[in-house]
Amino acid sequence: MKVSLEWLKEFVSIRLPTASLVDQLAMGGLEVIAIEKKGRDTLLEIEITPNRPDLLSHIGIAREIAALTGVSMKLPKQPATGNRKTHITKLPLRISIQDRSGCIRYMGRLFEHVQVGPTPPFLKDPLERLGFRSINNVVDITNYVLLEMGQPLHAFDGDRIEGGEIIIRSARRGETLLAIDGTNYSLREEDLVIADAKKPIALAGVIGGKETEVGPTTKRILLESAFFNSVRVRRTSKRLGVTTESSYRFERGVSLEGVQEGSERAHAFLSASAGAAFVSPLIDQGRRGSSTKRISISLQGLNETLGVSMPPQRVKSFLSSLGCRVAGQRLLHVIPPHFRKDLQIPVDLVEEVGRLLGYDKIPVTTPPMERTPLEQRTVSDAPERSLEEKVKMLLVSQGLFEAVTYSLLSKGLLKTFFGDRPIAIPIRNPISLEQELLRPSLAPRLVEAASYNFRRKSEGVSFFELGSVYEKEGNRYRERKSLAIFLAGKDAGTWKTKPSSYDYFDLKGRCELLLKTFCPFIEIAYRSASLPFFSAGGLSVELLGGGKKIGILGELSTSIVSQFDLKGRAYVAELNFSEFSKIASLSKRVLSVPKHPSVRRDIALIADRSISSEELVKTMREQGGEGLSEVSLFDTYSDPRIVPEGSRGLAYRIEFLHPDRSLTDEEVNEKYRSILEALKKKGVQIRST
Amino acid sequence: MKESLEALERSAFSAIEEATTPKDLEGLRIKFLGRQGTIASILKEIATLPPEERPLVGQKANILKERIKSQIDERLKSLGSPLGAKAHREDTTLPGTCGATGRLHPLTQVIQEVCDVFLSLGFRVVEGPEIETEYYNFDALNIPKSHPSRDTFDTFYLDTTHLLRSQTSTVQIRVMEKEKPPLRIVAPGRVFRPDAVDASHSFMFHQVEGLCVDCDVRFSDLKGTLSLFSKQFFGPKTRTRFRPHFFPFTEPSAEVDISCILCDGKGCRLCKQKGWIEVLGAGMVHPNVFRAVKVDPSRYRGFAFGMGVERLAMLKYGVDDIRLFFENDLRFLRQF
Repeated sequence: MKVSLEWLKEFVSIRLPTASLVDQLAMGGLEVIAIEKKGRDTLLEIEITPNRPDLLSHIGIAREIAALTGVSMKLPKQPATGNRKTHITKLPLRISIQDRSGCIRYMGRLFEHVQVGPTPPFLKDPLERLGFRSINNVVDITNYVLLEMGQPLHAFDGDRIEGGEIIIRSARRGETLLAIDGTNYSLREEDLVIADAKKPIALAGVIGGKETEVGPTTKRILLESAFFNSVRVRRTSKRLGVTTESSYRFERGVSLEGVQEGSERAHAFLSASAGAAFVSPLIDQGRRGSSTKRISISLQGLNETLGVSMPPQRVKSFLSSLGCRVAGQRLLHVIPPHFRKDLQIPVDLVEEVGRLLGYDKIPVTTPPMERTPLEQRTVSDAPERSLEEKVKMLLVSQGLFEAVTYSLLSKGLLKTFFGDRPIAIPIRNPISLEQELLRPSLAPRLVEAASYNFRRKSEGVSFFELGSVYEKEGNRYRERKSLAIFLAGKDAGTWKTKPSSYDYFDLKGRCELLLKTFCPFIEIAYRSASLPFFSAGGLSVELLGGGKKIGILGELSTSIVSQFDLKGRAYVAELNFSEFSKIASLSKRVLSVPKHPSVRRDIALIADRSISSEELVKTMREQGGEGLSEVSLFDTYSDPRIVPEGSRGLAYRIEFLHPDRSLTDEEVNEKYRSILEALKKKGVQIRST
Repeated sequence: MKESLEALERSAFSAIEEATTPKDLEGLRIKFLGRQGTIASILKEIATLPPEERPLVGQKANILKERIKSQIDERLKSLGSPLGAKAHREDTTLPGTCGATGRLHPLTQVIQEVCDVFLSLGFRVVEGPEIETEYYNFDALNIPKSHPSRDTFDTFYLDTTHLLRSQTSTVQIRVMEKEKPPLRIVAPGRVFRPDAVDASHSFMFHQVEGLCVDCDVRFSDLKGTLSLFSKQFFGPKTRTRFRPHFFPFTEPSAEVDISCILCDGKGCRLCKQKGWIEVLGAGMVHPNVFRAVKVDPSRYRGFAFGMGVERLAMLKYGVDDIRLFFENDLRFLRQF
């Protein structure tokens, strides 16, 4: 809302320098977002919150300044009356409201002998300073009253209303309106229109029609002052993309009383400046006035809510300055003025008093101690959250950067990863292709983020993301946390260790670290599986924790790698974090540190490639029994001079440990031999012992 | 004899120190430690000494032999190092090395920092769903059926009743439905609004919501709590200003400004010459919100506040484009 300081001064005396006024307005809840000098005048652009439609006028702002600065208001001067004859004849027009939910009050005044012409300077100048183009005296008067009092008005050329009838109704299917902006709008049934006997002549509260526009030849006018349903006006205005001074005010709500005040004010100006003679009694349809509402509020409650202690006189004077009628002492009975529809319940008055006192005058205090008995309290409702924080820190320590990507994605991106399977929840009203679907997996957006970096000359990308993924099961929407890890290209390396390409085991190692750290007592297994975006026949497995599937990991398919310009090979793991947190634990159980040294033995072997490492380790563990504490792979080799085609060389270190005593050589050797025997039975060749 | 051992030690050590090639050292090894070398000849001479001196001298000679040997080995090692034969010491200006580490996303760091402040004041951290219903996002928060924010222009809908939450205030309702006051919670989370993306708008961003309900909570307590938060988060010199505002779910409502973190209130480009920067929305919980969750508004009062995580991060780290948080450019992330 843009206001002229000179215009405001007609209603309130402002002695403050502009900067102080702007400050006082801000502290009163009216933020000035721009100040513009215009000759001797200063224009203020003020942000008005949606609960205060009464401030969308100069009188409204002046009232607020008067209350905030503690001065009184001057009422607007009535213009010198010119030819103000009222000759009541037979009413040449009938007005009816058909759509009563759309039109709450409609007031029409018919004027004859109107002389359309230039506008006198006292009306024209303030309008022009505020950026309104002067059209003619009639239109300018409606705009003047709108800016002065906040009531939108519309003037129709009375001779162009067909059939002597004004009907406020819903538009009919197929109807159109050529508006004064020159556009021909197609109307829908939800649009509220002003129609004559034949057709719509205006979109109620939004824009007038071209055909009934007041022009130089106009002799008779119908002046409309009305109260239209704010939602209807907003919907039509938004749908058609037409926002006018009028629609803006109707959207926020006008007052029933204002309808009449506006109409009368325009009447005065029309008589004085357009030679208009008022014909016909006022035609007034709909509700006339709102019932006055009394709000009772206890002074103690008001003071306690704000944290202050004000005497009743102070509170009453604040409320009176806003135009409220106030009675009582400890219990105040307050009747707000008709233009303050936002004042409904006691706390609304608390805010008004706080606002006029100044929020900066309210002290700064310490809230009371939380009184929930300690034995009933928990520090956090979200143990998952503290797990999340620890998981993130562990991954960061492993050289991974946390990414945050959009939860919404395009159909195209999803299709690249999941083909045509319709697994994602669609958004009904996306405003771009980027927002069509809710992500069912973190992988697509994470790969996209990696691509962004590779296209900017990154040599390697290591990301993780922890966020929600969404899916629909039947009619229910499901949302759960997911954790994705992404590796591609080369690690950073140092001048001592050259950068090396990430591989599957770098990914698996990070997953295993998480599981070993947070689920040390859960049995972990892998099951090879063919999964949507992993390379066919390549490395892709399902991760099982305690027998349940908790995630997937593998190498990204080469088609995705090339489509996204990733360098080298790319690896992705995605864990169902909800499932993971079910088996994870932040509590630790510690085994005592061994008192006796362990005994180590190495085994280098050559085995057929069909025998997995998992199987070999299992054999060793079975034979080693309880005394075997650790089996670890420390080398692999494939030198063709030693390892035949179809086989591979593996070297394991095994450790034996007894909790209570040192192991003897005989004990260890016996177990070791039985391990070797068992391996040999599997067709494994032992290289050296 | 003893003196000649000490003299030998001195000359041997200085010769080793001066040697510049492995070949020099090999020569020294032969000279001092060889079969015909100096030590060997000393040991031979022992036989000529009186019997009581023999063990002591022998022992000393052997110790010297070991010391020369290790001195030569050490020198050899330093000559053989990749630094080249001429360098005497490691170049300490070479960069240090450590394992690769990543970084937490700045938004995560801000959320943790915000939550930490409120945890220390006795608040708990809770979360709520991102897919919500109209009831939690609007109805229960006293947002009328006809309110503009319900339009499809301002909220992402999944169907007629389900939507992506446009604010974390939903969590207030979910918590108060389950638990009775007194309550103190903060709820960080992701929210969505159909905005076209530019330097200061995003269709997805993060908020932290806060709620404190008890029988005697005052507006002045809200001022105290948020003033403390601002000082903790933005620095001890930060001043706070509360301005009246409007939110459907609070009454009285306030917008909270902090003194500009760049110019300290004098006026600069960041604060658009105002000296103040808006960072928070807050207010006293509206009685209709209490009624929706069956808390008696005549018995309880509460304050609530909400802040934009991206906005806090932009101010704190001097980031001027919100898109940077979602591009995940490693050159950006590495700086946190």
